[in-house]
Amino acid sequence: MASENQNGGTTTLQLMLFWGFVGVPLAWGVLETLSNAMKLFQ
Amino acid sequence: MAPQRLITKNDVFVYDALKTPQFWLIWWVLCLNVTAGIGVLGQASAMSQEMFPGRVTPVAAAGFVGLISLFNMLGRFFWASTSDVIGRKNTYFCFFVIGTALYILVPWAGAIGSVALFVLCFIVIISMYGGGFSTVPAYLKNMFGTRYVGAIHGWLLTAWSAAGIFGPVLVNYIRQYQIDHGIPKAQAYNSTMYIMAGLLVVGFICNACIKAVHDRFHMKPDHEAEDAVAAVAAVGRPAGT
Repeated sequence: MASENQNGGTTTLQLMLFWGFVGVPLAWGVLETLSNAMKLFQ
Repeated sequence: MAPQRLITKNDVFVYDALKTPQFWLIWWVLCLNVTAGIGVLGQASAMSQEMFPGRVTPVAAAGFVGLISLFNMLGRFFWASTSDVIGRKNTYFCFFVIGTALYILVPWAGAIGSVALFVLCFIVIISMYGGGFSTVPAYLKNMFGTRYVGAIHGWLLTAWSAAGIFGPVLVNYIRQYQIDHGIPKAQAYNSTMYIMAGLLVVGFICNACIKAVHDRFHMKPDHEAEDAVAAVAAVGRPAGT
């Protein structure tokens, strides 16, 4: 169970969810970009 | 430790900030830094294909655009964090010195056919383009205080708008002028690169001229203003009351 902030703030689960919401597409975009950029050196 | 001399503890009213030479020097610093980067961003794909015909395909050029965008983002973290340590002014000195050297290197990278050197030059240049944006709000805060820094930053961003005109115009029109005068496409960007390097030298000089804002532009602390109002009110009060 995610730990709840005593002040009723953000839970760890919410943090992971929202970081994932931004981080996963960003990581995918970065990997795609790097993979395309490699064609410069082929 | 960041140099403390250019970090004020006072605030400057937004319209007073516009009257200071420091605001307009920072305006030119940002404008010239952005002009150098934005012209490249807009033409990166075409430039890479024309400078290395047959070696950089349209797909690879798209990869190049993606790569410089990535470094645009990373530069914002890296240079802003660096400016917390070495100071804002020194960070801009880095942009102008390294940028000038790299712009001069680009035509040479084209001449020797080194795609790797070409890419390296532009990813560093674009990281400094992003870094310029992320460092300038802190530079403004250090010069003019926190109270009106949002509005002052708003005014400063007109430098970005101006650079959005200067950058692409410089790159596109000079390239076209060169081609119209018989210069091969692969070398058509050389003059533009030297002009960009020249602009960064001007930016270096503007940055070097930035000193602390004169005391007369500083706002009086609130309690002093209240005391002054009270003193005026006391003088106007009828005798014996």
